Amino acid sequence: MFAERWLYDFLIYLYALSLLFSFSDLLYPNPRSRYLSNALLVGVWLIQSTSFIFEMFSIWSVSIQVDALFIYSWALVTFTLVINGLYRRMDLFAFCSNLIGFTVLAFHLFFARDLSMEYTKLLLSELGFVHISFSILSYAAFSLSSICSALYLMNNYLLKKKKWNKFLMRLPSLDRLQIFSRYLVLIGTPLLCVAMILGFIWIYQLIGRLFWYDLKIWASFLVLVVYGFVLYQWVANRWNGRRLAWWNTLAFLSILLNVVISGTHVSFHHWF
Amino acid sequence: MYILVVGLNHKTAKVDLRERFAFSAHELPMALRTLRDMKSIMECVIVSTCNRMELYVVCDQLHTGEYYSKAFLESWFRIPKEEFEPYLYVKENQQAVNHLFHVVSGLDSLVIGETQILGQVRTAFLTAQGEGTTGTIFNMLFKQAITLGKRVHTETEIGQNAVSVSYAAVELGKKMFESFEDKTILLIGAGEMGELTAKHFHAAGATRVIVLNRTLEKAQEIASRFKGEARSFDQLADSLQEADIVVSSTGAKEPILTKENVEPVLRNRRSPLFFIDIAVPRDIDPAVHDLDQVFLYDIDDLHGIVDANLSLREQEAKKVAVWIEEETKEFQEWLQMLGVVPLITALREKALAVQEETMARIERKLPDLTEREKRVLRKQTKSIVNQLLRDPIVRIKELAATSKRDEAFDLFVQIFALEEQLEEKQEKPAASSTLVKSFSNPTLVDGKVSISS
Repeated sequence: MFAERWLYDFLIYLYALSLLFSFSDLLYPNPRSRYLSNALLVGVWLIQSTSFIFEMFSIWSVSIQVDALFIYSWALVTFTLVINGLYRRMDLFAFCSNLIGFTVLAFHLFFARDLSMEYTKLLLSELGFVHISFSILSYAAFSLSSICSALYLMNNYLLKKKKWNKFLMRLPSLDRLQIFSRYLVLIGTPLLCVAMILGFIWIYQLIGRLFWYDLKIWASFLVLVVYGFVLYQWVANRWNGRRLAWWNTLAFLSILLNVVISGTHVSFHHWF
Repeated sequence: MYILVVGLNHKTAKVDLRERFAFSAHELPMALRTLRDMKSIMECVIVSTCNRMELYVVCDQLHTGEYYSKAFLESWFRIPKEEFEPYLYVKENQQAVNHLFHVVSGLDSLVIGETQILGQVRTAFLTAQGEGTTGTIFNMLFKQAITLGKRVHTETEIGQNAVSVSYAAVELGKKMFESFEDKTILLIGAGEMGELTAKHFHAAGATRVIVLNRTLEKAQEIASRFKGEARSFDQLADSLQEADIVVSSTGAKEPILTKENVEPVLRNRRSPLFFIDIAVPRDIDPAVHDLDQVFLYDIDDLHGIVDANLSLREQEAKKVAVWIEEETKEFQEWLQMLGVVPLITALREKALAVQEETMARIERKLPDLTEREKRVLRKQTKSIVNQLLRDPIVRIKELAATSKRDEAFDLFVQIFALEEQLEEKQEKPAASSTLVKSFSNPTLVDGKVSISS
């Protein structure tokens, strides 16, 4: 218990330090801060991945400590590291997604650590496992997509107001933000769709038609509808620019609603 | 030993004088050797660019060094000293070091923070090193300067933002487009500034350029420079459909593009449309900027960006100035330490000789000692020597950084009776053209650190 706590505390400190250096780099651009921030983030990812793998091995015998919020944070860190590694000038994007990842991880480690029993049961089923992992990955993709859209709106605002400042210099181009936000929705929507279908099948086998009374299912459905709408407008009606970015940013509220519902214990999906 | 810089730059001399003092790349090695062979000069580096010509020299006397540096310029360029002397600046020692650090950081350049000068100083140093005209002092100084220059450009944003209107437009474009590779530039009008802006976009990767002008011949002439396409002015609406970046610089009295012209173009677009209006009076109706995905910047907006970038560079320059002070101090400390090295070496050699002699005596008096016992004795006697020497060495290093350095060195030599050791060093053949000075001024005594010229 002590060792586990110590590891979790270490993880949080590491993540906090990474954020701190990342913030310092945003204010005063400095390659050393950037390097330290990235190195610490790799450290966070390694610890998370190792914990994740260990828990996977002990899934069948020991209770799970890695819950959905933990995996969600892991997915955000993974996506961020990949995008930040592949593209330049994505510091602000990385900072925003890490801020969300850190908040979620901190919440998980300090408040939500005793909620894993039902989640364990769920993970014991293969169907449940695919349902959960797909859902989490889609939420991570949607969150990052919304971050890109929010950054797009900021960039657009500064360019429209002709405010040439350090903040604008740090932002990625409108093109890149637009492409990222679209493709992340494009990845997230089918993932969530498949996750929900599998979830329906699985829960129907367990409790029959009663699952319709769970608010979380409706909230997840709302996420699918909102992001599906964004995707549809982009593909079919050729929406783009500010309007699409606003919709995509506001769509993040549906994910927040999901988290709130999971936290109120009115759902059997306590873990997310 | 003194460090001196004698030179002229864009601040002190006009281009008609500067151009007469330019060293071409092929004659630079010869010039370096000639300068090094002048009296009093022991090390030299020549920095020659379009904005500056500077002789960096290490000399044994300030006045003589300055005199012969000027004499070198006079004879090399065959220009009477009186003609160029008023435009020359001469900086000595700490000021000279400080000046070099300013130069490599881009703080002494015409455009603050420009990066080209760092490469030019580096090349100048490597050429001098290749010709053997640098020694201990300049090898250290220029390496430190180049490292500082690199640090300035990697750790600050001093050279990162555009300081010309046409580059500012390209920089703005980068906030809209990820790359210019698949982008089409539409150049409207044959204005010089417009053409320059299009040229920068083209250099930044834009592959397709369409030129529109009322006179087709003129459009063709400009388009040929970019391997672009020339069109007549009545094809404006069609050309707009294909464009991603529109640069306009016509002499029209009324706007040639309005919101109504641009709106239909947006229906089929997914990426932003960037208008740069360099004309005065303006060619594009400002209302165009209100459209989503459309960004219109006129000449004043671009000037505003340049001003903001310049003030950003000035802010960064303040940060760099602090680093320069620290680096100058660090170099001065190193320079002062340089004089103490021969003394420490002499003291160590003398002490170890005493230790070796004592060991030999012990071995003669106690012939039955085993190898192990001899090893222990040798180790312990060396330890005594080291412990005894530690404090004097630390103290003399500290004193080397004070104004009483010369007196302290004299006293050090006298107390430890190092005259003999230092004399021995003096008598060693000057195989490596080692500069050896009297130990009465120990700062100039050559020891382990040779000052070759």
